Amino acid sequence: MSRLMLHGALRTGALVAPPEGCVLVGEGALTLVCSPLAAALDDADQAARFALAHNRILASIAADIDIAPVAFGGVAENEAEARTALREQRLALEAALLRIRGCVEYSARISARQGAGLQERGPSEAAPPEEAEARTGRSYLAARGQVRAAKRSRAELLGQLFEQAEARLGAHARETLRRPLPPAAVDAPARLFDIALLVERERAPALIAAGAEVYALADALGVTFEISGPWPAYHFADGRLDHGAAQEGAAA
Amino acid sequence: MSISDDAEPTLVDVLDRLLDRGVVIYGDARVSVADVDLLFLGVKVVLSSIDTIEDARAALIAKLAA
Repeated sequence: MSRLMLHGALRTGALVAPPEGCVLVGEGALTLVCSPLAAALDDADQAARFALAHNRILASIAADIDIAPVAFGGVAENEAEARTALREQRLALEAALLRIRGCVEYSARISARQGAGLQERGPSEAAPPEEAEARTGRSYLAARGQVRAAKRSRAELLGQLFEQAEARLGAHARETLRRPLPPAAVDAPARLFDIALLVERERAPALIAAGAEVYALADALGVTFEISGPWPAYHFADGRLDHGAAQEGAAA
Repeated sequence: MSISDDAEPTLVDVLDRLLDRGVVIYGDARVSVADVDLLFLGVKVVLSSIDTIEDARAALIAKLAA
């Protein structure tokens, strides 16, 4: 038996047949979804293909069945080692599955409009006066003050938008998690707001409807809003051994 | 409103989500790109700092998306 790439763990019996190319390795109440791994992940292109496949396999299952993603790159030498891993990580996997029960992950982002770069200028915001236009020092300082005030005002409005987005979307999610923003790039719109949402599957339509409200708010401020999903619960299945969750899982 | 629920996600979007996520299960896979070990799973040990992961993620995304 070849080495196995580990994709995710689910409750034994929850999945009748594995996705094409995958195998199921079970140990007690938990089962791993795995793929034969013929090559090492030392090549960038190989890693990219495996990453896409990893997500595709998890997403195809997570649409209907709870599956806790295993950290990408997890490998077992054979089925016996995979079963050992299940035994040794049982609590972490049980905690992860308990946390994400009945849910999938959605992502919501707000970005500056293409071409706006880092300035985040809205449609109603006037361009700052050219310094050469200022006739006196006083008028120059006044103009600069107006620019600063406009920027503060816009920053406040954006902050309110982010709070509204988190509140409106979070009302339909079991958990929300703000994600750190990537460094600004000169050739890409600045990402201003990014959250992951753990959403019960049946509440997804309500989340999308709330997203339409947020879209309108974002559009009025001249920024882009988008939702993607459903994703496997990457941000919420970290296997933290939360004391309460572990006890609840043990009692289940 | 843009919602992506049918199309295959891009590599950038996938990497942005799955790197450094999920339950760590031991193994000996080494995902090494751009001379940076992203994840080294050796006997239940993950050797990486948050800064390393963030830097490596940015490098990997830039390289593979090129």
